[in-house]
Parts: sequence; C-alpha cells; structure tokens
Amino acid sequence: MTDHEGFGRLRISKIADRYLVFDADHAALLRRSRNICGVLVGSTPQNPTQNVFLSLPLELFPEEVAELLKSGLAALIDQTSHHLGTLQSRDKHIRLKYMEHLQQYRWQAKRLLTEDQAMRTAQKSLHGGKTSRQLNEHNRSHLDPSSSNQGEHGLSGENPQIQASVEPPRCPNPSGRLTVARPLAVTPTASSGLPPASVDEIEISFSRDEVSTRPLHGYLLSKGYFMTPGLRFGADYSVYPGDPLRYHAHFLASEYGWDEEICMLDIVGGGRLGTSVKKGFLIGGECPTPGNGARPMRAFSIEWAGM
Amino acid sequence: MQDRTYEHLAALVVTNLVHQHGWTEIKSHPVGGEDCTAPRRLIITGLPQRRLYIHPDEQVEALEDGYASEHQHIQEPEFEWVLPLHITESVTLGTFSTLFDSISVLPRPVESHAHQASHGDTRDWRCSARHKRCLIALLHDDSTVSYYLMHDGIVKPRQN
Repeated sequence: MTDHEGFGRLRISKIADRYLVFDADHAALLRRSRNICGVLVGSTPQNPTQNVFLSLPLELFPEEVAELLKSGLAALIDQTSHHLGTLQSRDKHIRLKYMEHLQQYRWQAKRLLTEDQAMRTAQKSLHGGKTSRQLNEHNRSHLDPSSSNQGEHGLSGENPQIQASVEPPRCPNPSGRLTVARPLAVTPTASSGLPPASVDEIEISFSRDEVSTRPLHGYLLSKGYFMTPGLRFGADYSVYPGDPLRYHAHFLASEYGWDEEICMLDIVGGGRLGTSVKKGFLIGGECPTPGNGARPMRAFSIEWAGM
Repeated sequence: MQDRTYEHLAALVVTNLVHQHGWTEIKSHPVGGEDCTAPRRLIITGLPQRRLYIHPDEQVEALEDGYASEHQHIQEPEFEWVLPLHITESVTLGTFSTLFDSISVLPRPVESHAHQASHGDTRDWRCSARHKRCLIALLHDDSTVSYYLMHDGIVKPRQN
C-alpha cells in the first residue's frame, strides 16, 4: 500500500454512533484500493427529501471500520467529545478565535441575505417595467447616511433594495455595528470554527463487541468482493465480484452464528429470490473450533435447483 | 427426532424423486460419525434424468466450443447427493459443515464419460476437482418437496 501515503491515516468520524468519512479523497481511496464502497448519506439542505443524488459524508459499516482499523489504515475520531471539549475549553486563545469566527459568520450571513434580496428586487422591478434610470436614482437616494437607519428596519422586507445599498463591514466594527446594521443571529451547526485536533490526539478505540459477531464480511472482503447493504433482498449484504458500478451482484449474503438455527423458510426464500434475480444466496459463519486442517470460515451457496 | 423419522423423511423424498422427477439408481446412506450422539441422518444418492447443474463457466466454454447447452454430452446426467429435510427442522451451519465434510465430491465414481476428461485443455467439470454440492430436499406436510442446490464454498451463480 503506497497509495494512501499522501493522505496520512484516513479519518473516520464517529458521530451519533455512525461512522462517517468526510474527505472525498479518502472515500475514493477506500473504494479503489480497499473494496469498500460505504453508503453516501449527505443530502442537500435545499431538498432534503430527495434520496437519489446523495453526497459526502460516506457512512461505513462497523464491520468495515473494524477492518480498516485492524489494517492501521484509518483512525477513529469521536467528533462529539472533541466538539464539546473544545467549546468548554478555558483556553483564552481558543475562545477568542471562536468568538471572532462567529462574528464573521454572522456578518457573512447578513451580507448574503442582503445580496440575495437586492438581486430579487432588481429582477422584480425589471419585470415590473421600471427603467434602469429609476433604479439608479433609487439606489443613490439611499446611499446618504440619513437613510441608512431605514435599511436596518427594512430587513422585514418592505423595501429590501435598501439593504443592498448598505454594505455591511466584513469585520465587526463596534461603532459601525450600532449605527449601520447588526449582523444576523446564527446557530452554528458545525465545528468549523474550532481548532481541528490532530488525528493522534483524539483517536478513540473501537469496541470490538460491535463487530465481533460478523466475520463473514471480513472473509468476503479478503476474497476481493465488494459489499453493499442487502436490505432490498432481505439479506445482510449484497455481494459484488467487483465495483458495484460495473458488476451485478453475485450473492445475497447472510451471516449466521455457528450454532444459530437457520430457519428452513429463510433458505427457501433466499434461494428462490436470489435465483429469480440471477444471484445466489450465500450463508456463512465462523467455526469456533476449527479442527485440524478445517477452515474457520465456512460459506455455502444456495440456488434453486429448478426441479 | 428419532431414527425412524429420518427414514420416513427419506422414503418420502425418494418417492418424489422417482415418481415425479424420474430419478433412477437411488440409494440411501447414513451420514454422521458413529460417535455422534445425535441420530444419524440419511442421505440419498441417485441419477437424475438430465443434468441438474452446469457451472456458468462450463456453459461459457461449451458455447465457445460451439455447443448449445442443450447438447447431448453436456446434458448427460451426473449422480447427485440429496439431503432430505423437513420444513419444521432447524439446522445450523454446523449441520451443513458436518454433512459436507462427511461426503466426497462424487457420489459414485464416474464411468461413462471418461472420454471427456481427455478433451483438450479445458477443465473437466465432472471430475472430483469440481465443487462439492448437495441437493437440499425440503419436505412440507402437504408432501410438496422443493429442491435447492447447495454448494460448499463460494460458487458463483448460474445466469439462467
């Protein structure tokens, strides 16, 4: 593996018990050289109900995380504790920096809003038959300081054009803030203003219990298969012989414990459904006491016999 | 379950194989070691009318050689293992594992198609080097029997 040396260790963020990768390069690397596709879960804020075109972050199975951590390729980060810990930090430098970031954020929000409203009003007035000369006159009349207070109150939308003429300062200016305009109130939803911690600093360990019962995934991965969630076929995984964008799945795979009872109807259902979609139904698990020469992993492929 | 239960189960499956599917040369064999405390299952071997399973790679090879998969020498039947199971039974991976460990690849030695083994450099799909497989015969109370092919290991599916 020389591929990933440019990246350092991959960063897997644990947020609300989900394992997420936020870096596009990391996601590409996982797919290209580790046979791990994950599931893209990032939605668009403007249209959160559409679920066809999703983007970063990439959510990984706990099994995949275990595999990556075992190989030393990735580090697991607990983002929540890092976020809270940094927010409560008594370090003056960190606090000041964060306040400053917040202020900038508020001014930026304000600026974007006014620009947007100005553009909309301009468009509206163009369609409404106003001449450009009238518009210009309008703008000029609001540039003089006497009308700038009006701009602040106009936020509610009576004449939004006014705000466009009041360019808010990029940086907070104590005197200007009082007389000209106030930045918008914002509720930050990300940790972006906080100083990022280095990977080694906040790495957490992964409890093996979360995956200790799922060795089939690692076995199939080691055989070069790609896996995606198998919900649509009622199994644990859909197993692809190569990248899912290129190949059809070969198997619907379900993992069973060695002494776990397999319901006969599962075999019938999996076998029949698999065959009807040109796939096999794969069951497998780990033998806890492999005898001499016996393989620890056993897998069985089931197909409808056609009789 | 008692020993007789497995016998009755096997008898029902044999009846179905013979009269519904036209199998011949059927025999029953006990499986599982004698030291095992569980009652011994019966496993059936027999010869279907036509070949039951053709590996997808073999099908591709045959097509490349210019044979349709309906060609006679491809369709020549092979002996198969059959494991009778009742729908209410629950088995484990261990059950299947023990089963496959106790059977050989070929239920009976190959006789009639020795000429195919020397057929050029293509792989021999009927020799003991092929994947181990067993037919699962699932019996329901209304005497329906449905058959599923189970391979030992990861074997890619047929592209029906």
